[in-house]
Amino acid sequence: MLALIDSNNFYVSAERVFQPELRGRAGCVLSNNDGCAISRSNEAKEELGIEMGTPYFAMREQQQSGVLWWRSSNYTLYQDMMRRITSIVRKTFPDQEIYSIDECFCDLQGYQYHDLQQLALDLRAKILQYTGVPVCIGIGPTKTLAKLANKLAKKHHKDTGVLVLEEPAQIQDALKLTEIDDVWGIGPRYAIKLIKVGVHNAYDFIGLPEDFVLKLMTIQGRRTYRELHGHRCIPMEYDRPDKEGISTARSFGTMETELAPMEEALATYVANAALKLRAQNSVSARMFVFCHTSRFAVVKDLYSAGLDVQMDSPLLMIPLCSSKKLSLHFEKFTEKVHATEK
Amino acid sequence: MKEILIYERGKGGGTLIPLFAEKIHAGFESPAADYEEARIDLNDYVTKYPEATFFAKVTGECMVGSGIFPDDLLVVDKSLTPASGDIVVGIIDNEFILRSYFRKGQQEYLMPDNPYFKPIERNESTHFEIWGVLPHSILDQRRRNGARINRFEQLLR
Repeated sequence: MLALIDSNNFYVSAERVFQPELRGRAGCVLSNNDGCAISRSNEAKEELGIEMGTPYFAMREQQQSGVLWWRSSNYTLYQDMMRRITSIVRKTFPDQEIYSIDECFCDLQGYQYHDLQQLALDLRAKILQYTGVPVCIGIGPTKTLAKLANKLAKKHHKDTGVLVLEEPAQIQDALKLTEIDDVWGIGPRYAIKLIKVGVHNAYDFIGLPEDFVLKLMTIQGRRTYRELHGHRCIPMEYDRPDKEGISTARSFGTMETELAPMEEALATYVANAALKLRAQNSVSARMFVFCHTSRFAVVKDLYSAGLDVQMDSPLLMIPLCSSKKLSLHFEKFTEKVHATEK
Repeated sequence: MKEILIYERGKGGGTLIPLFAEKIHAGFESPAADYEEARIDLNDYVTKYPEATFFAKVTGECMVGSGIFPDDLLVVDKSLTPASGDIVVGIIDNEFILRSYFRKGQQEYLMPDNPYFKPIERNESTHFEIWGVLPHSILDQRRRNGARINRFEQLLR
């Protein structure tokens, strides 16, 4: 069996630990440069209908009238809280894969004679007391089923925050309760395709012939299919494999129309990416630089540009950012922005 | 003004500080010969469960009777269950406060250790919760020099 431990609205929960006045009220944490909502409290989701990625200006009125609070993201704090949570989890379930800042998978091999439900309940209570952050725990025979159990625990078992899928009947019920687009590994495009052929929930999906799934959704879809059938196809990854692509992208805090600040930002982001590259002892043969206007600009003013920089030999990414080619490119961009302003 | 500010605990593996092998008494005592074996990490000494340990600073004077003065560094452990008499970080009206948890029969109180402050009794209109327990506080002794000198002058008068 595998467990997925996932913090509820992690950034919002972390802020609430140190600012009790934020509890019980609709609120969200904003992305870098305060662009949009990236973590929302349940009240913000349910009462105000704030979505992931809702831009700050669409929420400004609510924030000013006091029905909504927001905070800039504080990654130092989130990283610290994450370290505490994963460390507490490891003391109960030592075989751990840290999947993201707020999720970890644990292999429960060797726990077959334990009451998993009770262990998970105790662990959840311990994390809540020791750190103040609420988590949900889903347990199932595969990663995809553990993920599915976790989602259902968040939705239907709010009081306990734990769901264990062990018996075939339990798994069947859980599959029926899970909409097809809520299945881990099935993206929105495949979900539309599947709905077209009459597959609405995960249970419909596992009833399809395997060949059909392979043909419709390639090997990835088949992997999800087999995982839902209880066959482990996605292994635990105890050491993160090196990243094959590194991306550093931010939106500007205010509208930029000049070349100089763009170049400055570009230099900073390339330096950041290079730092990550060197940290994993990799080299790079290619760099892609892009910029675009705000997604919320008027349609006729939308503009985006990208430049693919091939390097003759793999490099550790020494400051390429000041190269003339890039400057010219961005000059074009700013000209375009100026033109649309007039 | 906030009564308490809460900080994160630093990473482990800090500097080890030599520990006197013998306890220091008020008088003079010859220190033990070999210091090398006995070393102490202050982080470890004050921390039972690093995952649940936070540092805080107090701004108020409500616990001076327990030797906690404004700006002192506090160690807060969220893993401990409060026992009667423990110093705790509590939350009342969405604000952090520093008091002592005191139970008398069925009644629960958050008590200040300073006669100028009022006790808080848990009842229908007053709710408080306990955020963490204070196993240690770090008193800056040199900042207390003035108060000590005053006491000595009174004594010698």
